[in-house]
Amino acid sequence: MALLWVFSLATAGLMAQEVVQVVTKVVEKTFNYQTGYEVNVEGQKAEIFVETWQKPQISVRLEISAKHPKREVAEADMETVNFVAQRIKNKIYLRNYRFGGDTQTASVLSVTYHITLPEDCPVYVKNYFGAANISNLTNRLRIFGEYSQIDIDNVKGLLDIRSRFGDIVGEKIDGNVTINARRSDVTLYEIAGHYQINAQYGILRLQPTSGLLGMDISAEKSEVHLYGDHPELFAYSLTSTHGSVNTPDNLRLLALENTPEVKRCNSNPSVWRVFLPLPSASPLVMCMWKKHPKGD
Amino acid sequence: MEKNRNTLASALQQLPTYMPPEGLWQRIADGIGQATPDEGALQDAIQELPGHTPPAKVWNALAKELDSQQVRVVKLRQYRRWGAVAASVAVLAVAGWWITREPSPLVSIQYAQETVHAFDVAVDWNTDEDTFDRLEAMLGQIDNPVVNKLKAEYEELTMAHKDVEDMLRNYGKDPQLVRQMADIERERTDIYRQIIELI
Repeated sequence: MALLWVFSLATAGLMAQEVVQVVTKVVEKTFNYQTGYEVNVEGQKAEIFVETWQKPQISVRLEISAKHPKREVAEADMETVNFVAQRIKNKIYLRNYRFGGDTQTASVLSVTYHITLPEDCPVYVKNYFGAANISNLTNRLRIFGEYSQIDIDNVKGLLDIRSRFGDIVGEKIDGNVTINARRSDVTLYEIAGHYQINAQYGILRLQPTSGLLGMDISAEKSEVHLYGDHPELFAYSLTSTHGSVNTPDNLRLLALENTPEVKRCNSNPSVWRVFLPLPSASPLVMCMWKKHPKGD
Repeated sequence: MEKNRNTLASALQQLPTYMPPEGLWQRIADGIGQATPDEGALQDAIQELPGHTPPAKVWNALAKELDSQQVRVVKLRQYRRWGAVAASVAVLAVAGWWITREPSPLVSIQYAQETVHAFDVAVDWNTDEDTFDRLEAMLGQIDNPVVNKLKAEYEELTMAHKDVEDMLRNYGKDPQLVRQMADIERERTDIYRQIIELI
């Protein structure tokens, strides 16, 4: 009940409007790129944008903003956010951090990174709160997000994505992909390559293309939904414990075990038809793999 | 001015003059180089001086010393050559560094204004904490596998609550953080209800 009171207070507060001063420190730096370099970003409540270009350079634009009705307060609070933008050997470190005390910060602070780099540059992003938006990479991408939304668009290569309390949305991903998601929803469209997904307490929505070569999903207390126009390209093996498996009427799976606790089924290669959608409560272990062109 | 200058000039003019006889200079020239009668005894004495041959090692030592001087010259020349090479390399390295150096970051400050809805919302997320604390005290006395699983979930969400609270304090009351806190509190309340139903 008390929680409802809080929401009511917050809603009442939304009625008022106020002019605030925004002070932004802009840091711009360009690094020369060589093969073997890696960009290593460690953000704190940061919005991180990673894009690519043709130049052999890594360009960084870091913005540290503070908002407060009084400009002096905003200026002083902005200066308490520290940053690092430097290359050490073959790693380019970009980092922001703030040592907070017990007192409430008066201003609202935010940090934004705009990073532009060659598409084959490996990237490691670690973000604590905030968001990461990464596109068009072709080599290696590692992300560790906590309380951070992760958006990935058109990325190939080796991907290792870990997330806690942050959702993952990806589109046009192709490669060897490992995802560990806890209390995070995972939505992936138009995916190809090999996937290893571990999920707890989340909703997985996956739309494979004909380029999908294999996918192992281990999900606990999660829902897994599969979407696709060509299910006949794949073979499936599903095991659900304390959960359920729902399939369209025209998709037949061979039941291998069907008890209140465990449901296990395999696909029968001869009866592929339509495959939309396949939701399941969990724990669920699912494997799907691309069938051999001449048989199952 | 010199005193009695005229007297001096007239006295000089009165001095007698002599001319040397002809052939005098020739005779003097011819005389130089010819042994005088007195030199005969000197020449005899020179012939009688004892002769000494220096030992071979003296010549060897001299030869070695001359050789070493030559080597030193050669070495000096080599040193100079390598010095020039090193200097060239250093110049190239500095030039390379200058061309490939990473410029220091450009830092600028920008000012703007924004209109927001209620900048400082007084939200206390811990109004329910007493209720949650009572629940934790009760859970300490129960050992049931289902409850324990829910308890683990509840503890994870409580940690998340603290993480968001720290971030709200550290980076300010950002609306996005407030939404995240609301989501976590919703899940925590849901677990709370499930636990209450079980015990």
